Amino acid sequence: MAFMAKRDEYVESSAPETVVGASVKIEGDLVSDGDIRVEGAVVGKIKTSKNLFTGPESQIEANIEAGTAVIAGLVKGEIKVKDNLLIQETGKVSGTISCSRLSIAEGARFSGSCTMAMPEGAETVQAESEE
Amino acid sequence: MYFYIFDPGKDREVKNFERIQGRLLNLLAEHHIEGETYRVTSIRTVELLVEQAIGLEAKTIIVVGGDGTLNRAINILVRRNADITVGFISLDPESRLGQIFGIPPDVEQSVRTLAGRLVAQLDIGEINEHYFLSKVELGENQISQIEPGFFGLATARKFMSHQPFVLNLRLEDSYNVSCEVLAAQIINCRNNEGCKMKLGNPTDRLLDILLLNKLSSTKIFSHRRDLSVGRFDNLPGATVMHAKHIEVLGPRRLPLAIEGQVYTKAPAVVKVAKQKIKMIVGKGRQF
Repeated sequence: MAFMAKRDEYVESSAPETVVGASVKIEGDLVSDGDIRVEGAVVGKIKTSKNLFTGPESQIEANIEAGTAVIAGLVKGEIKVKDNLLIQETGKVSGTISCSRLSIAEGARFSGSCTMAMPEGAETVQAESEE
Repeated sequence: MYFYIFDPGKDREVKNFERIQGRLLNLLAEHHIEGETYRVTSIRTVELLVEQAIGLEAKTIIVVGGDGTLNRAINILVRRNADITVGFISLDPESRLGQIFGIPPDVEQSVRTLAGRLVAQLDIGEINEHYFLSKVELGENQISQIEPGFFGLATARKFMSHQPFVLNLRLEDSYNVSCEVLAAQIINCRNNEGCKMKLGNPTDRLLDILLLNKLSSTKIFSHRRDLSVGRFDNLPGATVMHAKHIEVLGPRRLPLAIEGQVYTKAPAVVKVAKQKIKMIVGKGRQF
């Protein structure tokens, strides 16, 4: 139940600003001021100060910077998220993660290292994971 | 000074137009917004009349006609960099621009909107030195040219016969987009009625790119009503992106059309023009 409560915090926006469809392939720096939803493939960089959602079929080989992120597909690269990062059951992440709050659903795969900012006065926590 | 350009169009019955014109002139006088009126003929074109208005230092041009007339007038105003406010009275009850700008199809209500003089500064799109208010359609599959027919069946049949093509775009000189699409649009403004996403805000300095991916016949049939009016964002798997500068790289010789008229072929650049247009809009505008 506690996990479900956490998931509810990652509410998908009803109208994501940028939607990359499943048949789309992007190469380069995808930068947006609004929400981004990726269902297709991106190679390069993704940057938004708002929410990022990657669908189960998405394939991303890119460095990511976002306000919050929900990863349900494949991501290879560096992920920097200001607030919450959720890796869903279908998510496969390989690379380094930096975020304030991290949730990894059962069944998700994560290979790499994670740095999390701690509240003021506490030290930064570093962890390494191997799936 | 108000400068009125009356365009009866090609197919309109002259008697009917004269009746509307007479009623309109009375309403303009009633609302104290009368001015010089000129009628478009085969010799005295919309472009010539707009040039004349600029020469007479008119402060406001009111276009009375169809969407095409308004587009032609705006092209001259932007090219001449004229600081003139534009108003629109649509003679076409199905006018897309009228709906977007909140100008009712009824003449009396249109005059009231003009008299209210709510002016908005609007972005305009540019494609090879041609300017547009609404949208550019990419490829042979132009929605604006399809008559939906009975229950949208003609639209469904047309889309089923369309061949998808691989569209290559470069956005903001920053990233390349490649996708197999059935149809594609670059939108400056549009009528958002019945749409899931609010797109085409002509005040955000962005163009919206809407791509319709390859669909099965079943999906085409079940979404034929959305397809018939170009609401691709209501369909599953549609792509929506935003950019100021869009290079249409290929396929080569892909037609780019505005309101059914091809203006150029790929490779081409579609961008937000530096200039803006001052337009009188209604309360019911779509942005």
